[in-house]
Amino acid sequence: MIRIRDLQFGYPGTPFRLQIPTWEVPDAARVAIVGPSGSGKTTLLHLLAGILVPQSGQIEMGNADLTRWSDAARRDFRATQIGLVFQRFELIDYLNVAGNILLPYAINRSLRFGPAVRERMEELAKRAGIAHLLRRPVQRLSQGEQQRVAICRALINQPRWLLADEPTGNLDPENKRLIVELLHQQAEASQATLVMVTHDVSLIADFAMTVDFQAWCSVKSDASR
Amino acid sequence: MTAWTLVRAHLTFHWRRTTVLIGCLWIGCLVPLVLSQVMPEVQKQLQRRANETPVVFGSPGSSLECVLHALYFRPTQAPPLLYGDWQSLQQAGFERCVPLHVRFSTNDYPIVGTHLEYFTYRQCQFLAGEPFGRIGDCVIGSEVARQLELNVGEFLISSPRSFLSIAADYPLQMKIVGILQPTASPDDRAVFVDLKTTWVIENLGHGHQDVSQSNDPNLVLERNEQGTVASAAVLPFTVVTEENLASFHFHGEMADFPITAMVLLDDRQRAQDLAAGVAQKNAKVQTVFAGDVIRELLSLLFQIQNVIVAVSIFVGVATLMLFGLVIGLSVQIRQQEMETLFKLGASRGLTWTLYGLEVLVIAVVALLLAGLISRLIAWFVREDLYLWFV
Repeated sequence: MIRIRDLQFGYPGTPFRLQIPTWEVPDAARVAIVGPSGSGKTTLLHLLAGILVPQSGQIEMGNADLTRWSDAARRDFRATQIGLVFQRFELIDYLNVAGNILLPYAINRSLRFGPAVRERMEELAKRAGIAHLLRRPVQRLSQGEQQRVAICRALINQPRWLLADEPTGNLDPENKRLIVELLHQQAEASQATLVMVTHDVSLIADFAMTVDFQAWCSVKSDASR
Repeated sequence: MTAWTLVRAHLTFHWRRTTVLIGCLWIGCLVPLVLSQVMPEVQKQLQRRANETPVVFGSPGSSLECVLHALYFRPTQAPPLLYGDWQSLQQAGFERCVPLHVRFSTNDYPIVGTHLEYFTYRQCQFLAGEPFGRIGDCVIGSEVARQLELNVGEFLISSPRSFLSIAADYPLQMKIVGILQPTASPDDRAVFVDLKTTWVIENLGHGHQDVSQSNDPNLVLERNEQGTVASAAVLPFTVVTEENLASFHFHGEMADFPITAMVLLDDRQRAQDLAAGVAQKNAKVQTVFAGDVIRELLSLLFQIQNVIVAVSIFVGVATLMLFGLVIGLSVQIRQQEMETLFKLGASRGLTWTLYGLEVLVIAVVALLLAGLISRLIAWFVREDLYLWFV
């Protein structure tokens, strides 16, 4: 369960204000958040992931209130419970596909690497159709392949919440459809809650919950974010 | 998978940048490291030779040139001494004083005319053969034998000092009768002959066919009461054999024949005590205490070393500044990557750990390389270091 109450957030020195009185997402739900660029969708995902902390209000992920946790605790929570997919993939250029998928295990000690993780990586890659690319440098992949690698990386830690920030923003229509299908399949297989931000309304048909971000929350902004 | 995996992958992926950074630090460290390993060995080698040859006698002039000539067989422009000077010293009780005549060379190796006692006093051991026994024999140092691939029984020809005056020094074929064991000293790179052999090369003595009984007008210019005057058509022998050995003779008094230096191969203190008297009595002969001259030379070398180290420090500081600039630019370029790592669950400290590990790896590899290469350089030149400085 994701539960937000009286959330208020603003970037210091900017007119941007995000205010969410209340919002709840049940476990294993599929949620699409739509809205124009700069309306604060990414900010919400970063708040859910514990990357940002609100000025006031509560963000409960499961039974834990993220706003009461230390930086280190939120970092560990992010590493172990959250899977993040970015619009620009944000793969590490000097690692190959396998290295990128296993990246969370190299940067946080809460995650323990072992043979089971390697098997899971191979299984994820197989499901994403990139099992034959594991040794390949990521710059030599197509954009669709790169986003699949990013999705596998988001799922390698078996997250309870999969947060995808416009994961189809840089893809052609065919790849958009494939990636959204893949996200659904992987979330289904992992029993994870999928929260996907997009400004492409054609993609929201498969989502059980849709949030019109601009209408649903209060943003006093010059749309600079 | 650890942070180390990321560091290794980044360094190998950007191998050109890594190589350049390692190279910059390596070069910066190499010179001081090489100097620190080489200079003590140079000091040891120069002092050892000076201790083995405490006193040198030569013509008045530069004491450094005199020492380098007598100890290292370097060419000298100083006027020669006379063999008579050596005879005087012998009569004065300088039993372990040995004359040297070093004016000629063969294949760029100096020909050292001396007495057999040189080998005794220097405690030279023979790798093959035996000491020279007559005019035309030579004993070669181990390095000469190795470089020219020569063995006992083969021949070496002395080189004329000037190609414009080939008549001045007649090229003499010298038979190799012995090869010295390596001593890591200039003796390894010298060709030793009897003093008389160098005088033959200098045309002060020669051997030729007997013209006293010849009636050939081309060979005999004149006969008078003093003897027979031979023409230029009579060619001297260029090799000494059993058959022509008896024909070799010298014109003039041996005491007036030149030598270029004398070395006193005696106990250091005794040699210095003895030589102090000579220095006061004989103005024509310069007495030089090799140890003092070598100490001066070493002090000059250490001053040069200090200058090089100072320059290296400046270069090192400049290198470090450039290194810092490259790392700083790298930090800027990798900001997005570090932000991604943070979003995925890395601490902010990890990013600095990654940079720190990278710098550490580059520095350690550069230092190890510099240490290894400097050791290799020192090892390769360990026996011939003195050649670089004399």
